[in-house]
Amino acid sequence: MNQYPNCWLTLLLAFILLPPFALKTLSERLEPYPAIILPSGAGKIDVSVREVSFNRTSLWGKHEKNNTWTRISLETFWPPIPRQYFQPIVRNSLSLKLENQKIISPPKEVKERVKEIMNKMLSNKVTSSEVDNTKYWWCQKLVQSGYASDEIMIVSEEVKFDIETGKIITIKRSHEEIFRLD
Amino acid sequence: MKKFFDWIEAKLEFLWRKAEDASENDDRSLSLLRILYGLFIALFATPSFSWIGTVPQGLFLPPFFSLGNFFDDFPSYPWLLAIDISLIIFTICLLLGVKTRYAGILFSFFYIIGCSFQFSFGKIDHGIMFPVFIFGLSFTNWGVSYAVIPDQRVSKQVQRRVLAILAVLLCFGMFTAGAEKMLSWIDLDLEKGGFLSWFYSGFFNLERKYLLAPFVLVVPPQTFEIFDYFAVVFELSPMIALLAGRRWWQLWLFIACLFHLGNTTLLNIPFSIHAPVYLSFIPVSSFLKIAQIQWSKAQIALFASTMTGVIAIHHLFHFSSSNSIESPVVYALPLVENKVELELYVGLLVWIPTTFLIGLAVTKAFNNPSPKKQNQLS
Repeated sequence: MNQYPNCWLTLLLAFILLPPFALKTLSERLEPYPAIILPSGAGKIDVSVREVSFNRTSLWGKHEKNNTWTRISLETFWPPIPRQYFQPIVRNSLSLKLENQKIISPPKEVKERVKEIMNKMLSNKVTSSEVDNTKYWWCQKLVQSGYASDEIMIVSEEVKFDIETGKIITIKRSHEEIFRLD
Repeated sequence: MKKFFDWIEAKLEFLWRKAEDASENDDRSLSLLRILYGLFIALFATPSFSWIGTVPQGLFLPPFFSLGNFFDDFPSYPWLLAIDISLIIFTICLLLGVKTRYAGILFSFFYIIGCSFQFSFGKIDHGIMFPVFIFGLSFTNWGVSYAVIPDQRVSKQVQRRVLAILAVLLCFGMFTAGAEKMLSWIDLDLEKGGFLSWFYSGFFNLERKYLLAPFVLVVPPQTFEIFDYFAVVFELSPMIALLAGRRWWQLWLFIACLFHLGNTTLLNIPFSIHAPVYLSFIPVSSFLKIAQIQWSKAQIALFASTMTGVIAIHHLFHFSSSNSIESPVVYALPLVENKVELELYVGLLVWIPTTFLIGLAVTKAFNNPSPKKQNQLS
């Protein structure tokens, strides 16, 4: 090792740096942390047309006074969670669905232990008690912001903008999902 | 076979020496940079993870390969608060030069642990260079000068190699950002825009409408095709600049600052956390007059106690009033519309002097011939 210090250092760096990048290239979902990876964002957009459309996701709550659905202002509702985690949390249905339950079984043998760890790593784990706690937490936040605490709605809209004026041309509701919180 | 390995070793040694020559820095500059890192964290980027302890465990969905995945849940509030308080203490140690080597290593460790939990909401942010550089610089002499309890000195050779490794890591990081863009953005198609994809989604979707962003709308969209090519060349070129020599490496760092200034003003993405990273390779002691002053022990003690006092009072006051840990820059929030706008002004406040300092270094490097050339001339 002392004979080839530069070879060893270069190999070590390659070993640390390349596998995480390869994983990320394979799939965004496999991106590890910590790893030396900087943001890429290699998407493109059609600029030959005057209109650009985007999907916009928002949260809606029932206003306490008139019981009508109103878009919730995230500036007051979302803290303390930083705004950049809004999309991933909404993608996970605010953690209010019990789709993929945590798989917990007492470890018996090494084989089972490995299986358990793999299951744990692969599963999108939300237990029913966690769903209940999460429901309670969203309820409290709704009440603090002046909304009724029994329901919350995720709304996805396709918003078309004029790229020259920056003004909205059309808004089309593409999906909505109501979650009962009681 | 031995001959082959000897040949590889010789070639690699040549390349590593080139990287060392390009990225080296002096003890005084590194020590000043340690203070700048400390000030940057204390004023603008105080890490805070204790809020994670107040959200429900149902939101804990760590990425597949992450430290967070070794845990079943978010840690409890007291643990996260302990991480926050430790990070504040390590920041003060960095700022004042108290056992900096340990403080830097522990800061990076705690910071990455905290981030592992924060990224368990389903998204990984990419500020990794910041803790990695603090970790790496802890093995240089950045804790030797202007320090209350100085570190033990490391040899010049070790310091050169550490800085070269950090430069290579930065180059690789840039490569990871540029490689995918190269495959997608270099398309010779004026009807598809990569820069504009970032811009439109930020402007229309995330309310990134500040500073010069509105002016992008009045420029013909095809003009920005040039930005796509520039971004790819910029992100794929640092290794070439590093191996080309010191002045080209510093020129690349200067262009990097302009790139971030452009991103701050046009895309409203400040990424200020990279400013101290780039400055790590700049001999700031030759520009900053403060470096020429010989500080007495009494002056250092006064500076140390004042800084510690101010930071402690801020955190005690803010924590008792709002139960959260935030940078002192939060007091400027009433002056602007929201946090996004505040971060942009912080970005400008950080990037403009950084660009200026690196610009000075580049001017100096291109005006003064390298020592080798000087020898040849004489």
